[in-house]
Parts: sequence; structure tokens; C-alpha cells
Amino acid sequence: MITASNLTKRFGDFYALNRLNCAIPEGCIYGLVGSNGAGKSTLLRLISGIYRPDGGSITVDGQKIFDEPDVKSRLVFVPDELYFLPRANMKRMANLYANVYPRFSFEKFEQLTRLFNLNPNQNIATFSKGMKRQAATILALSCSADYILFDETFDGLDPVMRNLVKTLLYDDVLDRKATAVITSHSLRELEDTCDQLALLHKGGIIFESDIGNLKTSLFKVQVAFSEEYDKTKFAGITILSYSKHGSVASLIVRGDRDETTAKINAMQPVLFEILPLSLEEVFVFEMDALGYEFTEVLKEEVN
Amino acid sequence: MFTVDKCSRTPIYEQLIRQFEYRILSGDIPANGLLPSVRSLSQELGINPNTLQRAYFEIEKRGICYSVAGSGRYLTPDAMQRIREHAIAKTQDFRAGVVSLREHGIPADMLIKIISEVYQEGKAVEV
Amino acid sequence: MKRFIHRGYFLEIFTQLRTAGIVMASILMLFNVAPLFTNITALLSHQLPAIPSSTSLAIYMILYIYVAGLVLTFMSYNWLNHRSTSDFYHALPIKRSRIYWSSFLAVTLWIVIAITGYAIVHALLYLLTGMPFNYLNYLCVYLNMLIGVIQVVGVISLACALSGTRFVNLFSAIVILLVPRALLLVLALFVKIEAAYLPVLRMFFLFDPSYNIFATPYMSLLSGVIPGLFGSGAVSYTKPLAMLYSLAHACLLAFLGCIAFKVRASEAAGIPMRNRIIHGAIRTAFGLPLLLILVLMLSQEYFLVSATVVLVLFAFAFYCLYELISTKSAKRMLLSMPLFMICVGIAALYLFIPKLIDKAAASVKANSDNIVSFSLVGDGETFNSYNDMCETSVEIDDARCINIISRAYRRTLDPANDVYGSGTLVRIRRNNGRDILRYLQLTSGEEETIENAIEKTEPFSAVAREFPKGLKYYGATSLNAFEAREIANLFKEEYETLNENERKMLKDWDRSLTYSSHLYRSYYTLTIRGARGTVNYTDRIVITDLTPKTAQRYAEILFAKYNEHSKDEITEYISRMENKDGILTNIRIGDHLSMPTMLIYDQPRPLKDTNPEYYEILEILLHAEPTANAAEGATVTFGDTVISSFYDDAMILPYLNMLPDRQTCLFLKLSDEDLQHIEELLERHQQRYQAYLNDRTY
Repeated sequence: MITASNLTKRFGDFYALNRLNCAIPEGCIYGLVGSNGAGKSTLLRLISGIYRPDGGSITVDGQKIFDEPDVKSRLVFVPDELYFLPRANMKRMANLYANVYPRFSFEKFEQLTRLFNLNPNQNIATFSKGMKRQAATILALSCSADYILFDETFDGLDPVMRNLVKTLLYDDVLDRKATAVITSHSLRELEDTCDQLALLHKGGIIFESDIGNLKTSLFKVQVAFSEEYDKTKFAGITILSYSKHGSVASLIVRGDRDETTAKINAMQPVLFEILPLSLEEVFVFEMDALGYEFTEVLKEEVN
Repeated sequence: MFTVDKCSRTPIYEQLIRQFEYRILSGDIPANGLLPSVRSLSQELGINPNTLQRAYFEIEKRGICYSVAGSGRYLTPDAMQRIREHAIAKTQDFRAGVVSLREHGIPADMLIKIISEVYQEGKAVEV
Repeated sequence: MKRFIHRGYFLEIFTQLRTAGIVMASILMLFNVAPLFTNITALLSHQLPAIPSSTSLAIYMILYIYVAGLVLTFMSYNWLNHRSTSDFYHALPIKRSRIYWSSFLAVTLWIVIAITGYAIVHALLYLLTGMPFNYLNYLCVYLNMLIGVIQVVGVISLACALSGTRFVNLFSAIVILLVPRALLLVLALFVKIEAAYLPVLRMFFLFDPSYNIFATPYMSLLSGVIPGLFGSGAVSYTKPLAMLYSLAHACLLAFLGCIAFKVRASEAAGIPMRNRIIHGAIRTAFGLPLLLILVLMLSQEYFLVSATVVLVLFAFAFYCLYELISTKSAKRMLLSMPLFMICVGIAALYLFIPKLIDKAAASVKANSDNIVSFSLVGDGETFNSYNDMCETSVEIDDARCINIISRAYRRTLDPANDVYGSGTLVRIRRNNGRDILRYLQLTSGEEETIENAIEKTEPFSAVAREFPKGLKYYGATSLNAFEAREIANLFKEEYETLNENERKMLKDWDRSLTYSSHLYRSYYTLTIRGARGTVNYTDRIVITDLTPKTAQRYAEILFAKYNEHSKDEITEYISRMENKDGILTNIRIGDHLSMPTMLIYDQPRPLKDTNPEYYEILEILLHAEPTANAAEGATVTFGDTVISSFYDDAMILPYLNMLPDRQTCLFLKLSDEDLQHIEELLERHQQRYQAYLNDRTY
């Protein structure tokens, strides 16, 4: 479990992360979404031990990460700006990784290069941008790390490759209880792949949750009554948003569906409908409840 | 075969649960039969294994399946029954809805017509 | 070792540096081409060059270590300065200290490989050609170089770990390595100016450039350029304490580098160090020297009040303006005042410390009452004779000499005395057990008295008696190495049979003695280039008929080589002289009679009329037969030097001291009368030439 506790990181006077708290469990695919400058990359760099925290702590199973090779060997980082050794091919990179990561598996490496149809003896500088990302991903996966950190890696891959990597990650999650932490601009991206999601804004986690929970515990209710009523009628129900047109009220409710159904039925409505929400809508309302404008927080990627 | 609609607003795991129920009711999976593994399903459908696990836990909770360590998940002998019981519980909502429609002045004939149309479109499962 | 070095990372960096390492090592190796060429030339023309000094041996390696250290260390830390590479390396699960030491080892290894290869080949160049070389000194130089590698790589690693851009890295490295020592040397300079009689560079290890050679690389150059300033031989590569100190300094730098690296914030990639520090350093770099110049003037009382005021105001104004212009903030300017005060404080130290030291030294009493003995300390690495070298270990306790020293010492403390030259370095032993070192000015009479006293001491006599000991290389005109060794061995045998006076005369040959006034016939000089331990000497021993067997053997060898060509040599010489064909030939008869061509080369023709004496001598030589019998002959040496252009006397001077390009030695039958006659003719010619010169200046 990666635990960030009041984690702070400063660059000069700018606070990239400000008392951030989050917990990334084992065996999941954790998505981190946020706009540019929100601090996603900084957080990943703190987790992979590149930066040292200025305040608070970041630990893996209680152990500090910075300059601790034992802990760092359980983490592997795939950055947004990829770097490969000069004039290197994948084989040479693999040799370097094998030297520093104790559980690096050449078997897996060979298997993956075949799967992705990449030539391990070819100079990586001649690869296309997408192929470079694939190469970096292959190397990272071959390290058999417990935590694999992807910084906007999938934003550049084509859908076929994306699916391939996804299935590989699922294997690791199932086999070794590995965790992948993926950052992205795009909710849509992450929705497909992740089971945990967190929103990062201005150096702090606004909320984190299980995706399934997000979508089931928040839903829309459309209800109408024959008599006059207002919001107070729905006391006892957690309402994030309330609007009324004529006699029909639209509520965004957080809670258990069955319970809410029962409660409303008990009020004898004339019209009653429960509608699920898209993940984006969930985000909009959660943001709203927290007092943020969605558009300022998250810029949707145009697909 | 299982399918999921990723674009739908219905959460994936809910879709899965519904599909399980449907398969089981239609007899595709025999009693004490082996349910597909999390791994194979997640590969096939391209969905997060944790999401699948959730679906399985949910149906396990409802008593529809049980897991054997090292072996997988198996359908309980009375799975169909339990699913039906769950569905029957839902008719309470239906009853409440009918009451509401009656009070709105919707004639019973219209309701009966709608019901027979719905049942003709889809095939009911043999009890 | 495993804890410090990560094998995989080390190999990776070592491989990455491969191209640069090999290319630079090859360039260094090319510097062996020149000595190869000169050694082979010397071998073929039977010349015996001097033993190379430690400084000349070290200079190429020192330069290489700076350049290669800079280039390779920068390359090995290239990744620190860009975000993508910095992230990559910092994310690797290797302890930072291991990364540091593995990098360090990789860079150091490449440099060590280069200089070791160079040194081995260099030594082989001398070993295989048999040219004079002090291998022990070279080993000491090599050890110093190894220490220097650690120092340079350490300081540059430290600089790279501290700051984020190349320029600042280089600047920091220079400041950390060179500036402290430079400041100390300037202080030593001020002390020397204040008290010229003090051997400042030996007094205190922080002034001594042998300690921490790589922090004062320019010292070797300086000592050559301003010889009187610090005395010669300032830098010694053979002091064990100095090497240990340098090693400690090197290790300190390396460890500081490791700590800085561990602490370094990875986000500093590409961001220069905080500007204030740089600005502060630049300001100090300008302001402090100005203040120091002022201090110098003050101390030497060359100042006028107005000049002082102007200088201080100038420094101050510069300081403030710089700050104002660069930060555009008056507040910053005020905040930087403390630094200015620190500079003033440092400058004040430079004003007072030399005076304090001078006072302290002057208060030391050394007079006939408390001086027990003294010795003349050598000032350098090379001595002009074996005897000179051994003089330095002789303690003189003769009463008269002690009085001389006492008087000379008093003279140094008297400020009214003018200082002529650099003085003689003397170690004075006092009865309270504390020795002092001083440069004393001695008159030539005083020097002679002391020399005589030295010669009477037993240690010196023993030395003067003996044939030089230690590593030796022999050379004589027209002899190859084997022949020279044969002659030398023969000489040694005969030498042992001579009495003390005779031995002394051969080693101390006074060339003002002439054939007319002495009893011995001199033939030629045997040159010995030798070394005892880490000290080199050159001895020239005259072969005379005091050692007849040696002379005879020499005559036989020469006869065998050149007897056929004697007439040709002389006729060729005459024709060259008459036709001015671009080759200067110098004729030497015996060991000390010489007919330099340059005296007559440019005189009006026909030369027979203007220089009849030369022609007479040449007639004698032309009629003398080659002989293999030493008793009846004398050596006649022809030394040719090719000259490029020749217009007036001024052009000749450089050729006066050059080794000739070619030398031939004949053994011709010349009787004592012949030799005396030649001597007289040469004297007459000398007078005639003098008159000719006097005429010309009108």
C-alpha cells in the first residue's frame, strides 16, 4: 500500500503538492486524473523516489522511499518524457534494468517483445513515438515490480496497443497483486481501465473512490407529486443537486439505491424514475458539492 | 457470450450481474457448473478484473454461486431459485408502480396490453 | 567495496565514456612522439641530454588530468542537468552514494589508464634508448598524478552536485580547488616582499606548493618566470608528507562530493544556482584584488594619501554599482555590504600578517654564541656537479664560518641593506635545538672561505675523493653509449690510483689554466648525468694524461673511426668559412682551446688577411697526422651547427649555447710545442678581434 500523508512538495514558492493524502492499495489499477499543473507528475515522481518530500511523508508499506533501493526496487516509473540510453537498443536497456531490478525477468521481456512485434536489437532512436512508449512499457513490465507508475503513457498509444497493455496489466494484477498507477487528462481513458480513481487539483486529492462505487452510489432521481412540495420533502436523503421544473423535481442523490427507492415510494409519488449517471456527470456533481467548477478543474480531452 | 456496453450509463458490474442472472436462468450454465474465471472473462471482455471480482462477490453474496479454493466458482444448486426470489422481491416495486398508475387513471386494459407486448418481444424464461 | 560500487552502473558509465576516454588517451600518447624523436636523434648523434626535471615530466600529465577530468566528469554527470535524464537515473533503485562512487571510479579509471599508458611508454623511451632518466623521480611524479586525478575528479564531481548548469559547475570547481591556495600564495608573496630573506615557500606547509600540487599548477611556470621571487625548485614531487596531505585533501573533496550528491534535489536539473552566490563571487573577484593591490602599496610605503583614498573609493564604488546594476535594488546593495566588509577584513589580514611574520623572524637570534653549525641547503632538484650535490649535506662548524654567517644574518635584519640577488639558502642550527632557514647575502670572499672550510671537512673529502655514486649515464664526444661506458670504467680504475689533489683537479677543472702554465695535457670531457635517489646532478670530468690508459683508449677509438677523414674535415671547414654556406663549425682543440667560427664568419674577405692566426692554426692541423697514441696527440673536435639566416652579430648569440647538430672528434699528432703555439695564436687573434670590434662600433 502506498500511503501519502500530508505530502507537500515545493518548487521555490510554488506548492506543487500541498498536504496531499491518499492511499493506493495493492492489486488495483489506480487512475489519477487532473488538469495540467495539478501535480500528477510530481506525485508520481515522489512515489518513484525521484523527489524528496518537503513535508509529510510518502511510504510503501510504511517504509520511506527516497534513496532506499530496497523499496525503490518494488517501483518502476514510466515517465511522460521518455529517456533511453544513447544509441541503445531494447536489449541493452533490459540489461541495465536487469542489473538494478532484482526481479527483472528476461523471459517476460522476450515474450513481450514478441507480442508487441518489436525488434530488441534495433536502435530505439529509430522507433516511432508510439513504439518508444511500447518499449518503455515492456521494460517496465519486465521488472516485475509491485507498483508500476505510468505518467500519461496511454495518451499516446493507439487503441489496439492500449487494449494489449491493459490485458497485460490485468494479468499482473491477478498474478502478483501488482498495482498500476496511471495518470491522464482524460476520464474516458481511465474509466475503461481503472478500478480506483482519484482527482487531483492544485496539489491535493479532491476525492478518491472505487469507480464502481462512484457510479452506483450517485444517481439521478426524477420525481413528481400531486401536491406542492419543495426540497424539504426529501429530508433524510443526501441530495447533491436539486432542481424543479413545474411539478417535476430532478435530484442528484448519493446513497443506496434500494433504500432511496423505498423512501420515495413511501411518499407516494406520481412519477418516479431512477437514472444512472455517466462518470463525467458524477464528477461534475461531486465537484459542485465540494465547491469547484468542473470546467476549471478538469479539461476534457477532445477525442 | 457475455458482453458489456462501456458507453452505457449502467455501471459495468451491474451489467455483469444482470448477464449472469440471465445466463443462469436460461440454463446456459448447469447446476454446480463452473463459472468462467475472472482472468478469462477480463481478457475476453477487456474489463478490469477488480470490477469482475465485485460482480462475483455480489452474486456470491446472493447465494447464486460459491467459490472453491484453487478451483473457481461454481453455481449453487438452487441458483435459479434465488435469482427468481430476488426478481419476485422486485415485483413489490412493480405493484407500487401499478397503484400509482391506477391513481392516475390509467385503465387496466392499457396496462395488460403493454405487458403482453413486452412479453411477446422478449422471450420469457421457462420456470 | 561492494557496498560502494554498483557493478552494473559502473560498467554502464565506463562504457558510455569509452569513446571520449580512448580518444583522449590517444592524444596524450601522441605527446610521446616528441621525446621519441629527440631521444633517437640524441642516440644517433652521440649526445647525452640532461636528466629531465620532474616538472617537465609532469606537465603533460597535469594538463591532461585537468582536461580529461573536466570532460569525463562532466560527461558522467550530464544526466543531472536535464529533466528527462535526471528522472531516469534518479528513479533507479540504486543508493545515491553507490551511484556517485561508481561514477567516480569509472571516470578515474579512464584517466588512470591514459596516464599509466603514457608514463610506461615514456619511461620505455628512455630505457630502450639508454638516455639519462631518473626512474625514481618519475615514480614519485606518477604517484602525485594519481593523487591529482582523485583531486580533480573529486572537485568537479562536487561542483556538479552543487549546481545545475555547466558554466556554474566549472566556475565552482575553479573556486573550490584553486582559489584558497591562490590566496595563500598571494599572502606568501606579500610575506616575501616584506621579508625577502625568508624562504616563504618552505616555511609553512600551506605556502608550500608541493603540498597540493594540483591546486597550484601555475607555480612551476611562475618559478621559471620570476626566479628570484621564490627561489627555484618550488615544486617538489618527492616529499612524502606533501603527498599524504594532497591525498587527504583529495579524499576530502571526493567525500564532500558524495555528500552533496546525496543531498542534491533532483528538481535542480537545469536550474542554475541561486544567482546571489554567483554575483557575490564575481564582486569579490574584482573587489578583493583591488584591495590587495592597495595593501601592497601601503605595506611598501609607496602610497600617497590621495592614492589610497582614490583606490578605496574606486573599489567601493565598483562594488556598489555592480550590485545596483545587476539587481536594480538598493536594498540588495545594502544587504551586500557585509561581504564588502569581509573583503576589507581579508585585505587587512594581508597587510598585517606579513609584518607580524617579519617581526617574529627578526626577533629570532642567531649569532656566534648560539649557532652550533650550519649547512648550505640546495635549492633545486638538479646540481651542477656531484660535489655540489654532496655539499648540501655537510655541516660546517668552523668558528670563522660561523662568524661569517652571524654577520650575514645581522645584515639581513638591517633594513638599510639592498638585496642583490636571491641569496644563498642556509640552514642554521642553534644550541636551543631549533633550526632556522634563511636566504643570506654573502660576498664572494665569504663564499670562498666557506667553500674552503667545506672542502676540509671529512664528509666532503670522502665525497670529493670518490667516483660519483648512484645511477649514471656516460657521454663523450663521438662515443656511443657502450664506448662511453668502457671509457668511464677504465677511468674509474685509474682514478682510484690518483691522490686526493689530483682527483680534485680532475673534477673541478679550472678552465682558465692553459697549456703554457700547467703540466698536464687535457684531452676531452667525460660527461656524467647521474642521480642519487631523487636528486640529479651533472658532472663533467676531464680526461688528461693523469689517466693515460683512458686517454689512450679514447685515442684508439677515435683513430679507428675517423682517421681517414681528417684532411677532409679541415678542408671542408676552410671552404665553409670562406664561402659562408650556412653552417657554423666550432673547433675545439683538447679540452679548452676553441676557435669559434662565429668570430670570423662575417668579417671582410679575404679571411686570410683579416684572420691570419686562424689560417696558421689550420695549417698546423692540416699537417698533423691522425694518431692512435694518446701521449703524442690531442683531440680536435669539429662541431657543426646549421644556421638559417645570418646578417649581423646579434643573430649569432643564440647559437653560442646550442648543442651542435653533429660532432666529429679527431685525434691528431700535436706536440706540446704545437699546443703552446696554438694557444699563443689564439690569444693574438683574440686581441685582433677585440680591436676589430672596437673599430666597428664607431
